[in-house]
Amino acid sequence: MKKMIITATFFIALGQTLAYAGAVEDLLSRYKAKGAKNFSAENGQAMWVATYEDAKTGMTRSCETCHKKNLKTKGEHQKTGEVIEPLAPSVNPVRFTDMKFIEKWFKRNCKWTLGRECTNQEKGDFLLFLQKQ
Amino acid sequence: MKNRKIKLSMMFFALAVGLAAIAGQAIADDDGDDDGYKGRGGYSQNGDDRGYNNGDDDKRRGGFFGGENRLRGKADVATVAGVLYKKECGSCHFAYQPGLLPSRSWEKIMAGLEDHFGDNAELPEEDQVEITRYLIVNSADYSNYKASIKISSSLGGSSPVRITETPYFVKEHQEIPVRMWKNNPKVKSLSYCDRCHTNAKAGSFNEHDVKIPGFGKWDD
Repeated sequence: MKKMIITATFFIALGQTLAYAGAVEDLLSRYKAKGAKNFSAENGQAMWVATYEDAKTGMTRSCETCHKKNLKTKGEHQKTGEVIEPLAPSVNPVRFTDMKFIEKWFKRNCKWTLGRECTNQEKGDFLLFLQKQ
Repeated sequence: MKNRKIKLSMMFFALAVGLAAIAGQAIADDDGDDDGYKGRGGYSQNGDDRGYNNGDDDKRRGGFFGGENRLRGKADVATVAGVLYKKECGSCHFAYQPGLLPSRSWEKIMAGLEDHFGDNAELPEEDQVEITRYLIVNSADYSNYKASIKISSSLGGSSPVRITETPYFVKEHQEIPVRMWKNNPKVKSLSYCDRCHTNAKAGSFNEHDVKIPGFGKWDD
């Protein structure tokens, strides 16, 4: 019996590292531990639709440049045309289940779009907004 | 007794959920990669055990990447075996075979991921290190495949960061009119190997497998 419990726990744990439903909650508390205050989906949305000018190219960039206006449909890489799967977890449930993946893309996309890394506060705001989609 | 039964069935359910998660992942991992040429694993180059042999054809036709067939007679370049490389790099663009550039070029590319041809492609450090190592070990410097040898010997000490800038590549593509690629909205750039090379993923760039979107088979 004990063995079975251990085995079952092992498999559940393994399943969770692959697609962890609590990824957003964990990240939010991590950001708070680093000094972020209460998060706001409204702020997240405002930053999401805002446009930013790239100093190097003069190009106007926004999250919607690639993810497009409707988060429930596919996006497209602005240069290569590579398909980006929908961001909205309501239609694409694997979204926001992998903390390493989320952090990797925050780093890349904040730097590309805003020209700098996002703060913990901003990342939390974004997550709260996106999670509701 | 009843309690025990409930406990047991709960346990069974948990196990099933766990297994389903693993199975789901296994399927997801394979998506889009299954081109029929199996035989990858770790860092090794598995050019020989794919059950894929077009060596004789290559000799006869003189493949897109030359036909001297000096050493190996199968694919023009070793297929991609690196799982992490395929996952991280291949999720955004064609997973260029490491044998298409020398190690010094890969090192340069991997040191500049912050501006990766206009995109930010930064990786967590441990992944950056692992992928760099994979690319170096499998680079053109250490490969006996035809295309690798031809690319290497065409470089003359330069370290291009674009495969399309290697002299051998340029030579092989110069007769294609720009209307078929640059001005062709379905191709746009020669960087998208697999838009025309139908067996690119298998490391085969034979010109007889070329099909240019909107133009059809390439015949020179």
